[in-house]
Amino acid sequence: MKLLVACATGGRSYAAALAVPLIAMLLVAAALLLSPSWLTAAP
Amino acid sequence: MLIGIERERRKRDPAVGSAGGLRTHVIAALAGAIAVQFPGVAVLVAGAVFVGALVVVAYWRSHSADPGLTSEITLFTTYLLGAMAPRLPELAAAIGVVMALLLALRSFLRGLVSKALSDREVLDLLLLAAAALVIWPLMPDRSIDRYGVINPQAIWELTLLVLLLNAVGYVALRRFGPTRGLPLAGFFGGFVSSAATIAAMGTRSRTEPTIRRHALAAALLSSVATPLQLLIMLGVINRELFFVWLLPASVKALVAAGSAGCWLHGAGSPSDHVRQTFEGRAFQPLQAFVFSITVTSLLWAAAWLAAQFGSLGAAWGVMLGGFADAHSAIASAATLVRAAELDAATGVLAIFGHWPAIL
Repeated sequence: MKLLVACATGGRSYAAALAVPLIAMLLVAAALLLSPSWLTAAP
Repeated sequence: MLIGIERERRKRDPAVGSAGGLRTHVIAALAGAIAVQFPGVAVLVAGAVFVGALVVVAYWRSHSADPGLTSEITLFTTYLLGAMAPRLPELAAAIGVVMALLLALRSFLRGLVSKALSDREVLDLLLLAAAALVIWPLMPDRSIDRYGVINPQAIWELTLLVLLLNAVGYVALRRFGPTRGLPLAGFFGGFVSSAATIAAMGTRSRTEPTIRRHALAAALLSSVATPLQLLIMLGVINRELFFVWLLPASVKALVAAGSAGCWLHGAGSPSDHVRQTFEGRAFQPLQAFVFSITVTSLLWAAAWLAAQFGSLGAAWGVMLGGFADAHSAIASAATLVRAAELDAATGVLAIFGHWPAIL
């Protein structure tokens, strides 16, 4: 959604510039969620 | 008396009319208060005619030096305030203070209207006021579809929200320059709607290419607000999901903040130049409306999925709803887990599921 909105309002270069950090955020969050249970387990 | 004090000080300025100072205004107010003590309205009207005549004479004597009517109208209104005070003391006091404030802010208000705001900005301000105060109350506040999603007033509220975010970004840009103003607007805009903030910054980036890097940093900072808000909402709604998401959301916020810092680091500081030359539109009404219609359509699709396919459909609905509004998706998932309609693992996945969607 954010990238679609970015492309529609700011153009492709604006969306492309946002794509890398936004995708990085997603991958990092996914890696941490799927990481060993001791890393993210509730106390 | 406050009004009288202000008028007394203003009398020192030869360019300002002198329809009375401190004593005149206090006596005019007392005259009004006395006039209402008599039975009927004859004395009150006679007093008003008398004060009105004095005002006309004062204007006739001073209009060549000061063509404005402020001093004369102030004296007449002070008489009316005095008449109002015995019955409605709080209201009379409040109006008196506001009047004194308006009179004291004369130079500031004149500068704001004639120098700080362009014609285009004044028009945009009026449009925003009309959208909020005229159109919004006229919109029916009821759902017109079976899922309770399509509510004309809610759609207009979303449009107003985007317009307001645009306007806040614009004011911040004018006030603080792109180096500080846009990032601030982006961060705080993210707490309201990250997608809307990204849209506002995208428009800004396109219309003002010189501040593209600042707009990008602001857009990324709106994504710092989203995980912070996720943690706050989960902390309130569901403690179990909060601890699961604590580390991923914190890291996500750090990645967004770091990326924004990179864009700002290479952006330089063209603030003074840009601030002086920047006079664009505060917002784009059509884009704001298209955005709110899109969001409503996605929310309707999410509601339809939930209605058609039960619990599994609800999870997919949360994910799809995340396309439109991350905050409602998070709240929905956490609430469903708390109500035991979803298990915790599905709740985690549903919240995670909306993240690719909001990309």
